[in-house]
Amino acid sequence: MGNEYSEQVVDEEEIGSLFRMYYAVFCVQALRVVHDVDIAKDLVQDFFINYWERRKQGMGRPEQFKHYGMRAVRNLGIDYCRRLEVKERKKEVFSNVDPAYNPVGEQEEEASYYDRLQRIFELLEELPEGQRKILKLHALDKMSYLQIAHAQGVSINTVRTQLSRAYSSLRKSASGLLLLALLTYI
Amino acid sequence: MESKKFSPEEPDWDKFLEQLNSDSQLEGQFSPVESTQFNELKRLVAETADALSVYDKLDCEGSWNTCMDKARERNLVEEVASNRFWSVKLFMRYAAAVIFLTLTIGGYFLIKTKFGQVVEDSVIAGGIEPGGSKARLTLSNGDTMVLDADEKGIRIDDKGISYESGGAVSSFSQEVTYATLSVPRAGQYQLVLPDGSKVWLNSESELTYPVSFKGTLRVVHLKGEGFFDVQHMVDRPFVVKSKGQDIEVLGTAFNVSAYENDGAVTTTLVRGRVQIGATGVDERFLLKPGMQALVRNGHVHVKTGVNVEEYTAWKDGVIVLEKQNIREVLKQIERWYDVEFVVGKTDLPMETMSGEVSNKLPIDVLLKGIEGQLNIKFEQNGRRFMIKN
Repeated sequence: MGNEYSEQVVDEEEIGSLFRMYYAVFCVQALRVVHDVDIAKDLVQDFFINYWERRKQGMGRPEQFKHYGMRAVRNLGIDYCRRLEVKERKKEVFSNVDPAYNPVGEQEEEASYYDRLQRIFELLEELPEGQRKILKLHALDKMSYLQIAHAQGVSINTVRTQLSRAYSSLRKSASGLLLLALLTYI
Repeated sequence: MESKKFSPEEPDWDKFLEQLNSDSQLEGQFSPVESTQFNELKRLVAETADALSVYDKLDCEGSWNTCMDKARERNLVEEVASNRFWSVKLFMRYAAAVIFLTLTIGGYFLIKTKFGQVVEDSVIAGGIEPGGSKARLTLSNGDTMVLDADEKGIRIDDKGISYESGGAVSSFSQEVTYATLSVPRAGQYQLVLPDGSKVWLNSESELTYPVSFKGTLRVVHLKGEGFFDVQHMVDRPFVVKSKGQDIEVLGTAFNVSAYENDGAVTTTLVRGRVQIGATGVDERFLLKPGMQALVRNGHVHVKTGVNVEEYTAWKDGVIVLEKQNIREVLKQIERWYDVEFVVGKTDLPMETMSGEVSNKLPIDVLLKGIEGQLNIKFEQNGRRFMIKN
């Protein structure tokens, strides 16, 4: 099915819709390699430009855009690091990684990572600003309940309930599909 | 004996979360189940941190604009002038909307008050009346029944099928597992599914569904056009299968138009989230309110900023003329009034129409309005209308 697309017209609308769908998680994927948000965003844009160009040159649509994109974005990140010849230690690590080498297991792991992140982004968008902030202080800034309570000027109890509520729905949503698959299987 | 089923049991959030960012040594005291949960949670927190590290700085639209700049530099974009063109066109459409609405409604009342009787007569003489509540219900045991035209919809629950107003339609026997509601041309009908989800079916459409939802997925099959208002159930996704695409949702409202003779399947999201994908293709797209997906030949296009009203107004008895294409409007009229338009060699005007009218409008009034706006003529021959310039 994947290779049967006869029409190879690729346009702004198509690339734009892919961009909006995949942008957020791809940025995270790039960030994991380059550790700088602006560079990550730049690389993701470059990925879409490359994809656009290749499609115009007659490349077919990849069977699974998710796999394709996650791998390509990571490779762009690795290339970027190589070009910059960042710190010696990193260089060593990366010179051992062949960008084209991607065993199936890793591909699957990458795809499920994509799915989980996508769902987390969806939920983050639904959270009220204040709750998102508390979540950020906890997950990203590794603050304790007490520190968060001080920083936000709320009671520890508020921090407690809001955090457990947020993680509970994140967990439900992130594991929802997996659970379903398991239940159906049993 | 551990006969515990796989259940999404709630971990002790408090204990785990506090443990996570503190130095205490509770972790060594966790039971095996707790350890698994704690590790799962650690990953969740790490992934949430991944997402949050970019969340505030993403600026998707801004980034897309930069991406478009790069694309223009490399000559990937073909029509640079299209934006300006559209904004003028948009303005014209709104201007036309105002004029047309005034003309049509004004015109209709004028005709109605002065020559009301004449118009009614001519409509009946033509034998063309607007559509109404019409549907047939077929059960998996072979029973089939024509539903009451005075009723607007039916409801299914474990006791059987009844009208919205309460009157019974049919009780179930053992062998009934599936039911199909078919709506003919010039019809519409409403349905409440066993889970409480509501479906509006448009003309020439069909919905097949189980009389009770079993298992973890709620699956229905659609032909034609339907508006879905899905009851939210966290652990039981609702799936609409239609020509060439699957839609998966938890709880949300959206419109699907999947007519056999239309090239593309159009899904428009009003509320909530839906995941959409072409049948047999792994790629999934997430729609948010105001977005629309067009699926054609296993190919998904997503549009943003769609005026949702245009695509869902039919369920409220409104015909929206504000479509990209006169052909779309004509198709809608064909289905609702059970008529046929013959275009022949006529060039259909490219400009779009605007405004909206009630679907109870006599067809000749409606067509007069379109004639006036587009500079074409309809020549009636029974239920067929030739379009002339």
